[in-house]
Amino acid sequence: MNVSLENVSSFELFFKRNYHISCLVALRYVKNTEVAEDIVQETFMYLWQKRAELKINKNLKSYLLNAVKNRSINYLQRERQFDELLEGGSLVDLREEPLDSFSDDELAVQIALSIEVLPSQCRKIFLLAYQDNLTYSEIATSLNLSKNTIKTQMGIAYKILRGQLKNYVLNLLYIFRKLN
Amino acid sequence: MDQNRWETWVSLLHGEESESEDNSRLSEESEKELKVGHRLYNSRERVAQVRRLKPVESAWDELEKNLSTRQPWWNEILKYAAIFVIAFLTAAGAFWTFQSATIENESWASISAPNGQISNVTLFDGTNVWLNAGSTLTYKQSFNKNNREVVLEGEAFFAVTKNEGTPFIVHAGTSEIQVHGTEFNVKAYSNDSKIATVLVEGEVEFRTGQQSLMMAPGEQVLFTRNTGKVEKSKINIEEHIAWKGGKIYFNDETLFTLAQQLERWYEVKFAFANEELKSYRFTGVINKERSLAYTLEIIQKIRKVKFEFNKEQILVKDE
Repeated sequence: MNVSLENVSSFELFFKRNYHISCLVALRYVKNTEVAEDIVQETFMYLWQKRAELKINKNLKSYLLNAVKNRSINYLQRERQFDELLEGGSLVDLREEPLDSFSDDELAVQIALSIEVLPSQCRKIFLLAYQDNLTYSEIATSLNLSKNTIKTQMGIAYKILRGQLKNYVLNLLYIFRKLN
Repeated sequence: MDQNRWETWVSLLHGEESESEDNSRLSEESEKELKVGHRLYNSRERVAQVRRLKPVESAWDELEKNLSTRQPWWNEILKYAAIFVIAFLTAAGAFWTFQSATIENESWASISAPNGQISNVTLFDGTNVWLNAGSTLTYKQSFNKNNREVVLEGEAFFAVTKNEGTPFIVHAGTSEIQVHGTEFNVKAYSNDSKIATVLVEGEVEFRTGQQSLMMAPGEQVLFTRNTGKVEKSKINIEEHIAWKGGKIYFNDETLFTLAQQLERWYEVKFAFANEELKSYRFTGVINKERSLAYTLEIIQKIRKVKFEFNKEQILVKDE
């Protein structure tokens, strides 16, 4: 999947495929969602302006994600938020990361996409438990349903998502190796 | 797994039920089947982050506006963008320290390879630098804009990207080495009495005070810090750059020099029972892959010395 950035439409495709994962990488360093999104916009802008000079002999996606990472670290340094660079006492790691170190971010993006295919009632229940950390009882009360229904719907949600992600998770390692 | 057991498992995952005799073996039963479910559950935080982001379509609309108009806001950001360093380490478990300080209104940054680590870094101009253990490379934030100057403390091997317009200059002690595009090694630890520059490829100019010296591949320039003496000699290149691969050649070197190298590589301290021991001479190769104990044993075999392990240091004694 060696994308070239020659024209707007291939660049658009590259952007749309990688926007969310790029934001997740930025959010490892900066806490604010808007700042992370700005950093990602800047990075894509940079890639676009430099597209002619970029001699990338490796995977473009890996280059992008590492560029987002570096830019995020630079942002923190500019803002003098050095304390944010110190995570649990260890200094931030400036080494270039291989693509598969971003596989958790990639998976999260896939999950977010898969959640959208759940039936609406099922999705509502699932998100209340999964994202908002409500207990089954709390969900049952707020939606005026029985706790047993919640349990059943949660089972369905997990089953559908597992079906969606199964091949993806199993292939993840293989895909990343291939891309690298 | 049937529907009931599956639902029970999801409940367990979400802390709705606690483990009981009845369901305690659930996870062992179908580990493979549950793997995806576990990863799904463990991704909660990241998924929530994705869901807070704006939709891809509107993010693209924003970017597209800038693609067409090429607004100058971008230049502003570029101005503030700090030096872009892609660093990766060859030594497993190694880490970088990144510091910045402001000297004379110019911001400096430095990269260090801590004791015990050999590291590799690519500078913004594409120059590849290998840093030996206990070495630090300092450069201006404006590196690659109007200068390509670095300050070395320790030992490094440089593969400099060709750029006729902007020379690459390594400052080491009171001397400096200027090149345009070449490969060379500089050894300038502050506790070494001499700075050694070895040229592998291309051409470099070695400068100190009033003196200037052109070097050819396979030549070494030794600069003595105290006296300012400069000597040029032919050497075996491989012996001088083998440290990159975790090997050090000792060609009739003193035990003191050897101990200094071992201190940097293995993060230990040596003490000598008497001064005479320091001047014992050695010829041989040390491999970083080997343990310190192994290396010391070899040394003991070559020369009649004894190493005694104390709490804080290794005492070198006569046998």
